[in-house]
Amino acid sequence: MAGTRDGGDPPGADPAVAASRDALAVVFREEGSRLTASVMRVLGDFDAAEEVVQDALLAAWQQWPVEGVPQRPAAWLWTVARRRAVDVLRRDLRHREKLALLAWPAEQPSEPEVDDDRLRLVFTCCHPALAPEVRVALTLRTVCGLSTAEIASGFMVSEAAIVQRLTRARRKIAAAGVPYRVPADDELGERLRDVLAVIYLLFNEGYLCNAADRPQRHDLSHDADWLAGLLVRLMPTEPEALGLLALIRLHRARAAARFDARGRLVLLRDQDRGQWNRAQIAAAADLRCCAAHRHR
Amino acid sequence: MLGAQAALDEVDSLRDELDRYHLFHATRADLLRTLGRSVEARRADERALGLTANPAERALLEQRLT
Repeated sequence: MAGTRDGGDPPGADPAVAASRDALAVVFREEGSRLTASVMRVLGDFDAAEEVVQDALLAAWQQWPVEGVPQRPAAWLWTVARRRAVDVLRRDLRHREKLALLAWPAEQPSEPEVDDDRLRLVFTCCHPALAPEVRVALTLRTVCGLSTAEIASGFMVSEAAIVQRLTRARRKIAAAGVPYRVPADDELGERLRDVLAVIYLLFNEGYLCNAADRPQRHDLSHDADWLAGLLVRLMPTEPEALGLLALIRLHRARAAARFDARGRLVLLRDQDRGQWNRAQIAAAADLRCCAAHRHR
Repeated sequence: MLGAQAALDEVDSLRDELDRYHLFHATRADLLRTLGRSVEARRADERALGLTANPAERALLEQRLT
């Protein structure tokens, strides 16, 4: 509701407000990092891209409860973000020539080209100027949208340690002017290790997540599967990429047998193997063989 | 029984790296139980429980502890 004093909502507020906040949370989870990736591609600047997306989210946060959730919430966010990105470019004369680029994306795009942006962005974020233990954490936070608590559990360190790492990294990026740009094809190899770690940890968090409210996050597992697939398409002869994709697919092939009807974990030895997806297992085993053959 | 002891030795050698990993402790607990060392197994399960927020994993560990 428009009249709240401190920006927060009083408990038991208008159900329309709650519904609009829920809708925003869903859209952000599904579209947030793709949106950031696309804006990043246009602006060539991480912080600016994050700011633009945050502005768009804030606009939705304020307007949706009053005006109602738009019919196509994702498209609404894309439009607002695009408008903000144009403003940023206008403010920054150096990027004036890039204005032409903003004919795109006019709306929530669904072409594979944009999906590819996100993998490129993972490569971009794994910047060699940053310390190795920072690159992966920063990418998981910025591109994949994991929380600091989720990242901390993946690294088996305290959340405070992760927050400190990220703060230090952002300071270094700002101070040293780390040039974030999408790496050329011949630069991909040196960043591969980090990219593999990012995708693996993303999958790990989806497979069994570190949140109290649900045991797994299908959205993250799905993203990791899809990123690993893109990686194999981008580097078809790279055994590590093939191996990671095989690993992810083998795990996902058992998804139906991992929980019982009441949502309790079923250990591997007790699982009903009839529920395993044989076709997926066979396909993943083929991938694994390809990886083994190509391993140096 | 030799198998479980050998496995436990292997697992224990990873303690420095994995001490904050709940499945490290859950694995130890499983092996310790197999070896009949139930008090230590219980302690390891408790440690695992303290390291995960995942509701399904917590339910499984809590069931083992009751």
